[in-house]
Amino acid sequence: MKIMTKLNQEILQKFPIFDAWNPTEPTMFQVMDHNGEIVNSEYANTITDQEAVAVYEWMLKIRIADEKCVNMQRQGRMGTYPSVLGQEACQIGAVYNQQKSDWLVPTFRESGMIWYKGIPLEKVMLYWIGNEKGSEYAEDINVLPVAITVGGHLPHATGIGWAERLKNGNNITVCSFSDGATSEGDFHSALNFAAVFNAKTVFFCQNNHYAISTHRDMQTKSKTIAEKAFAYGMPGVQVDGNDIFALIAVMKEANQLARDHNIPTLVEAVTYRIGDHTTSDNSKLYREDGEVEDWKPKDPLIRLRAYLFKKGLITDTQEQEMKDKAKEYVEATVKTALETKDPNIDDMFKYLLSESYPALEEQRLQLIEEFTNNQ
Amino acid sequence: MIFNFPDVGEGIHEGVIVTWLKKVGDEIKEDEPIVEVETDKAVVEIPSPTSGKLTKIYYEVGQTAIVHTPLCDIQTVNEAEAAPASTTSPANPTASATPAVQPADSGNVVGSLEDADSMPKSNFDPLDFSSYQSGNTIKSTNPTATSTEPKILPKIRKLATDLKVDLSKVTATGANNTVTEQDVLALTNSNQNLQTTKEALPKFKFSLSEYGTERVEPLTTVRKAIASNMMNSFKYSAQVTHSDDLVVTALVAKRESMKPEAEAKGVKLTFLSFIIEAILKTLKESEFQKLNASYDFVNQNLIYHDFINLGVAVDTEHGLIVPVIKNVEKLDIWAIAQNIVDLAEKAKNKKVALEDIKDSTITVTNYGSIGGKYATPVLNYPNLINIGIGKFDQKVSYIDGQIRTDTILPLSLTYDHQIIDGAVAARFVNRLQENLNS
Amino acid sequence: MRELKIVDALNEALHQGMEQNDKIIVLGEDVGKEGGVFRVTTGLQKKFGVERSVDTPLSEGGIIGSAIGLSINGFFPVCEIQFDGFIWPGFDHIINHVCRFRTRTRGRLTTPMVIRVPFGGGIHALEHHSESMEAVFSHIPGINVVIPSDPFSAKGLLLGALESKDPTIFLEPKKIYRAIKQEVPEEYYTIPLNKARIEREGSQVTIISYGAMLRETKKALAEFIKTNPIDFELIDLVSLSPIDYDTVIASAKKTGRILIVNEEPRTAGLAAEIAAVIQEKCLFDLQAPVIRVTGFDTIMPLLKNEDYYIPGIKRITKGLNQVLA
Repeated sequence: MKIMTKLNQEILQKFPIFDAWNPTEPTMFQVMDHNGEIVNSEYANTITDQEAVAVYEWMLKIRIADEKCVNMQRQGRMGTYPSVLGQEACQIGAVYNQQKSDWLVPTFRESGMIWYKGIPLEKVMLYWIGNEKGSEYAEDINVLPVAITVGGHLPHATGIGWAERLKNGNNITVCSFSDGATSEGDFHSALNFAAVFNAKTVFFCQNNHYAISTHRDMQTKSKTIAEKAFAYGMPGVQVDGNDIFALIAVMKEANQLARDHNIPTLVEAVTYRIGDHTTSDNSKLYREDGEVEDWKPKDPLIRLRAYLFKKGLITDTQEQEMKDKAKEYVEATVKTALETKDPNIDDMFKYLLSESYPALEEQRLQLIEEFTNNQ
Repeated sequence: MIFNFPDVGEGIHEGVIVTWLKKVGDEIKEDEPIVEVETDKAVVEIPSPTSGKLTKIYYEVGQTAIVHTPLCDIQTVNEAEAAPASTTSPANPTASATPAVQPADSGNVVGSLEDADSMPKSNFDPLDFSSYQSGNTIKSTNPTATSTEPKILPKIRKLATDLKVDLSKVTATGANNTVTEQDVLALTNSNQNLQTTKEALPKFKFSLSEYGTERVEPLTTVRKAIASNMMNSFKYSAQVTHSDDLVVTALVAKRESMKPEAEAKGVKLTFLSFIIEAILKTLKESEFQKLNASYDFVNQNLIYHDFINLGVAVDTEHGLIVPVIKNVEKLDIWAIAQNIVDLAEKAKNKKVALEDIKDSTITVTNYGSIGGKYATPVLNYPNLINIGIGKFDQKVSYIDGQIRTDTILPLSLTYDHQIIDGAVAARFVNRLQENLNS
Repeated sequence: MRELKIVDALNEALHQGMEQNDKIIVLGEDVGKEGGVFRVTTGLQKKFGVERSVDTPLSEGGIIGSAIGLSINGFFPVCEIQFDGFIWPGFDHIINHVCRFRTRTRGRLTTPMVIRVPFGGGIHALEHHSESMEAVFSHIPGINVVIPSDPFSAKGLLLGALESKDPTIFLEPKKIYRAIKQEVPEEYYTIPLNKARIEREGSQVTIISYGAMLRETKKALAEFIKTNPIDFELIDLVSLSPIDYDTVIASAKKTGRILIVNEEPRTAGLAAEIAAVIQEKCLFDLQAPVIRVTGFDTIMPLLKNEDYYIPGIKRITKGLNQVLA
């Protein structure tokens, strides 16, 4: 549709999902419903069968790893941990179409996404265990550290995408954040700057319906989050975030818009946070059990599983093998993570500036003395 | 009123006069344009801030007017100096600007900046200290409010702590009531009680030359030392003298009986020897041990000595000296006597060394050999006692119908009442008498 | 040698820096076409184009936040924040992200950049245009803070900051943007970012100041020495984070008397920090308490009363007398 923007309408017409999305009559783009039935045959073959099976295995891995982390916290072996339970499709879909050098600027509820993008699970665990060695990513993986501030990372993603355009580079940036972040001022300035400066950035909002205890309906009076894009003169779309096929299809367009046309977009992926906000949260205080139960059947794994089984692409045995393999891998990773030594006590001085200065060095020596002297 | 050239462009500094729209003598109305000025980018009309008569202009056509300097004089209706309000205030950028102004490029949108190119020369140019020659003294023209407490810098406080000096006893002699290092050091020797005050000494008139001729003779070293020691003795002690006549009849007899032995030994057995022997015996008794002690007033301690160094005051032609017999408690009567003889010889022959006159614990002053009954011998500070011995005398008494003649020895015991009380002193003298006669 | 004012020296630094390093991007409100409200960025857009001298939407958070991304992905942003009082919407990014990326990623991702801010009072401006919150910035670990006090150091410091591997907050004392003319070399030169500058060596009293207040201090001194020719040592602090304590303490030990002059709100300010370190390191060399001449713990008044807030010759002279007593 003709959106109120200074963007080139002809370009937009080449991207049918975005082009079709109407903020005045918003719909949720879906390919596969919660029963695993294809409801939009045009996009049925967005990925191959083989790829679909692989995606399912990944979802299993993410779920199993996520469950393990929650348990570890309950066992006192990990600090506060934010579960991605129920959001596994988003975790994969946001970065599914990315090339290795593309950027990811994640929020904090993102252990599946950054793992899928290429950060070893061990690092992910170490971070939540509180060991800063978990922040040591490889040089060639363009992933930013998890963002604990809500929304603070959005302008960073704008800047990266803007820089990429200036360099005439080929990489896009996906910025992942939740519905809560859309209320922060940074959301406004990030999207505004991204549109003005044609940043190669895709703003991927995982609307999991809750910002701790604040329901999405209390976060904004807008009917959808996607429609906010139009206020900035950029395209937006709302998609079923538990439908991996829809996600992949949408992100394919979004990435191309960014990569080939320097047009940033806002993707609102509608999903649901089945778990608590973090392991320190008790969502029963603010959620009806009924609501959670209503959402459980819409779980991304359930529908994909149904789809795969229906098509005969997977058997129980294979699925069990996948689960066992995942469990084994997760356990091995946990062991390695827990055996990792703590960072050096004076690391806090090492990574502060490019070089130290006398007063700082004096403090560092004081710290060393404090903990190594037999006093 | 004086109308200063206003800052019409938010920070412009000058402008060139293009045209005077009014001339001197003209009546002008408030807000009526009176002059055209060209700034960096535009020609600006300046309106009059008030009604009145234009009486003087400061810049001719073609001249460069500097902002905030007088542009023209306007005589107002009541001839009062109208408070120029915002026009003379350097600070208000928009007050008298004309509405149709094309602001020149002032280089800032808010406020007004000083510009080096159009600042009047200030008193402070140049702010260049490269050729400044400083003086040497630090002088504050506004000393901090003086409190009665002396000012003690952290450095000085630390020095006092290290040297164990009581700062409450220090007198400040530095500028602005500051305690100096010297003030602290002055209290490190036994001068703590001495107030090195800066109060002026009273003016004494020592010379009376208006009455006749005088001869000025500098003090000898010995006399200076004596004078100083005397003053110190009185300053640092509370000396009091207890006198009594000691009956020494038995002693006289005893000495007589020992004369042959003395002759045989070749020792002159003076009365002084016996007296010293008796003093030593008495001092050994527990109640009187403190008479042979030293009072360390710095640390508030009494130091008991297990030895007795006996100073014997000797008159010489140079003055009084007090040679000391060290460890006299080890000596018997013969050794004591010999020591005394030797001492007198030495003194007569000026052979007394510095070593010999220091470190006494008690002193005996025998003026009786010269004459005199009672005296108040001065403590040989830091001794606590000085025993003065007067000239023997005879006392006749009538007891139980019998007439008795006794030899008596007038004895004056000066003691330091800081440590020794009168009763103790009296008992010492009583005991001494007993020991003299035993 | 030609003489330049601070604005011109800064402008020249930017021109030369951007010529030298094509990764430098200047961004901020009104910096491109207009050349900045103080004209510091004049001519940059014309010479280097709209992509390197960028007029941004009105959002300090957007400016600094995007700058972080630009820096991470290979550019060297020079953010201009229009006035000190407007930096706060972007302060979140400074304190939560700019200073933290190196630590957060253990050295893998860094955010070298310069954030330039006109700073301090005395230009008869509106509310929020006269702030002195340098202590707040200096309190943040992971970021450097510098402030020039004359044209020569302005150019050298800015070029130095443009070469730094660490983020720098570059405070520009707006009161003296144009008030001082000084010989400035035409060539490219840098001044070390973390060193104080001894303007005059002396033995009797140490006077520390920076920014526009250095000039006010010099005015007070010029008057003072007419009747009281003290042998003063005058230090331009230059680097507010880290503070060059080698220079400061050596001077304090030498003179035993220290006067610190700035215009910040008094409590918990930089002067207090310096005084604390001085008493820690050389208490026993002190001849007098460390005296601070500062603003007050109040809001900066509007222009009519601003001279009551900012230390003038009276307050500085009183401080001199106190420290010399």
